[in-house]
Amino acid sequence: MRYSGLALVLIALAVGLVMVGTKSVSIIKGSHDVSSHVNCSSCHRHVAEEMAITRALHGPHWDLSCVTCHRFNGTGIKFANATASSPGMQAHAAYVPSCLDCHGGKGVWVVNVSGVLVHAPPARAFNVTTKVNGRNVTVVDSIPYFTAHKQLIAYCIKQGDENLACLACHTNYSVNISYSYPDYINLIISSWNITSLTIGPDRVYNVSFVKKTLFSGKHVFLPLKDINCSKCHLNIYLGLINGKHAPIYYAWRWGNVNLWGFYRYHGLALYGSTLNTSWINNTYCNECHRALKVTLVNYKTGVSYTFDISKVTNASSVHCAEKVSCLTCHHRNSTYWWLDPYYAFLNATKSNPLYAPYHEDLINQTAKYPRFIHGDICLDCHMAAYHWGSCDTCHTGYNKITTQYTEP
Amino acid sequence: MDYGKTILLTIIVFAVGVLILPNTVSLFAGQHYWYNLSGSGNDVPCVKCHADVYEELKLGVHRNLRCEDCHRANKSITYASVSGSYTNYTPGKEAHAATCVACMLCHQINASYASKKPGPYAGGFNITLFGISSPYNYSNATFNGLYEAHNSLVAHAIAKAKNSSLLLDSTEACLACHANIEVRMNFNVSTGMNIVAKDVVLGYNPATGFNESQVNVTGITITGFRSVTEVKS
Repeated sequence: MRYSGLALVLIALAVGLVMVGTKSVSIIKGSHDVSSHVNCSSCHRHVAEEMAITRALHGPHWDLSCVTCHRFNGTGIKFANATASSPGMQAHAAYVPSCLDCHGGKGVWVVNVSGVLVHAPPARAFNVTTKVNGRNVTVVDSIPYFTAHKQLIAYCIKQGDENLACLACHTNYSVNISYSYPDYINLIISSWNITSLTIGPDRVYNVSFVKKTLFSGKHVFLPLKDINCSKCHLNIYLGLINGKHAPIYYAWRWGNVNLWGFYRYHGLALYGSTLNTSWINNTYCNECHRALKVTLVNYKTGVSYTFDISKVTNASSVHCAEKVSCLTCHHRNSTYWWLDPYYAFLNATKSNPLYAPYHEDLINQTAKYPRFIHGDICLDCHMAAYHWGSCDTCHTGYNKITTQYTEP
Repeated sequence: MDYGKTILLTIIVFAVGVLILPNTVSLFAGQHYWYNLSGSGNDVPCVKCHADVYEELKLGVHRNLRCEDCHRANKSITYASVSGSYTNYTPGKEAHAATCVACMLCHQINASYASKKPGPYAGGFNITLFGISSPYNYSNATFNGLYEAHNSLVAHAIAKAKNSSLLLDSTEACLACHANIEVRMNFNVSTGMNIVAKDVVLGYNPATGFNESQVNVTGITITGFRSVTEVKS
């Protein structure tokens, strides 16, 4: 039996060498087996695996093929096409698309893997594109100034890769951000006039959001609900919890109620016996940064009032967030100005005769100063970060000399 | 030795013979049987030595081509040939029987002047973006290839081929996609980015009535590179 086994091995070896030997010894096996059909994923398997995650998440592009994006036919780029016997012109097999090739202008219709037309929606506020060599390029100056993240996309465009700005939020890409902003402002107020305002040196804080999956994430497109503001703005999230970003801190009240008997906080969800940090999420951020309506509740009567504030905000025309300050809503020209006890003009060239010369007029004067400290001056009283709770903190006499730490 | 072992030994000898015999015989048989190249269709059969290539060729899009359509296609090369009578011959100059060939010999733009059997133009590449030159025409003003994602692959294949044993010009790159060969690729894939942002004051803006400020992005670097090995088989 032992010999029989040996014989079979030798027979198999001999037959194998005779039958397949010629193929095995070829220098580059398969080099003459040439095809005009190329499977992208055979070389880009890791991308295919990322797209599989996208499909599992049901994220954007989950139903698109490689060809839909990388051989997108809406740019005028002509690719090689064996079926149509046409050589490639501007590209042969594929190109690196700009997100705005599809999401610029009014968006486009593309065919998904099921052969169904699906709409690639315009990236609102960033879709102010013009055609350059058939491709959409965002006109930075046309992005409304109140659109948050404008400078991010502007920088990426300047660097020649505006996709980076999109990837930061819309994919499972790791993001490390180093922010620097003034640590504090020094105010000198005399006779109800801000006579001096200086900005302190920068402080830096770093945010690191490291993806947790194996994959690079460039092709893991996140569902919109999974885009987390706190990914990049962790400092603001912590500021909200600790009462240093907006006046929401549960533990602190100024006389418990405002002039109308309402609690004076924005975070309606935060009312209660405990501060629930899980309520501070994208929805909460949107209450100010993408506000189309607000709901205020009179907790004495239990009656709630919902106001359409779309006329005082630009929420309907920003991408994901509006650059706001307290005065965005609390200014004189607001449709709901009567909600605003401060009645500020938002114009540095005007004074506020109604409330001058009181605290409220100081708000109006902030229009002279950089926008990013407007909220800090408001918070000087209303939250005041490290200074809340006592008039004496600010007042050393009739005049005021104070250092106000800036909010995150 | 019993009957069974005899049978077994016979099978082994037969099997080894199957492997060795043809080669052994070929050392002697036919060495004085010269091919007559003067008649039509009496070319040296490439398949005699390159049966594996022949088998592959029949599987792909070049299945209707003959060996010489590619390997004797270079118009700038004089290959050895016989026409009609053996006395009417052309000795090879730059090559005798065949040359290795770059895909772009036949698939470059205006290949008709370079190839006896020009193929469809493989347009849409641009190697000049990478400072690479080639004897073959990859692009012109119309077929500029400015947006091709694989330009780098093609350009670097050309650069490598100039000083190595790689296949000619960009052929390695062409085969990577278009041929049924195993390709091992190491991608250096980024996994994230570093962003530097800073509050800046822009100054008074009459349109908004504000002393404007904004968060400027002053730097973005791609980071977190990791190696991804892809094997196309």
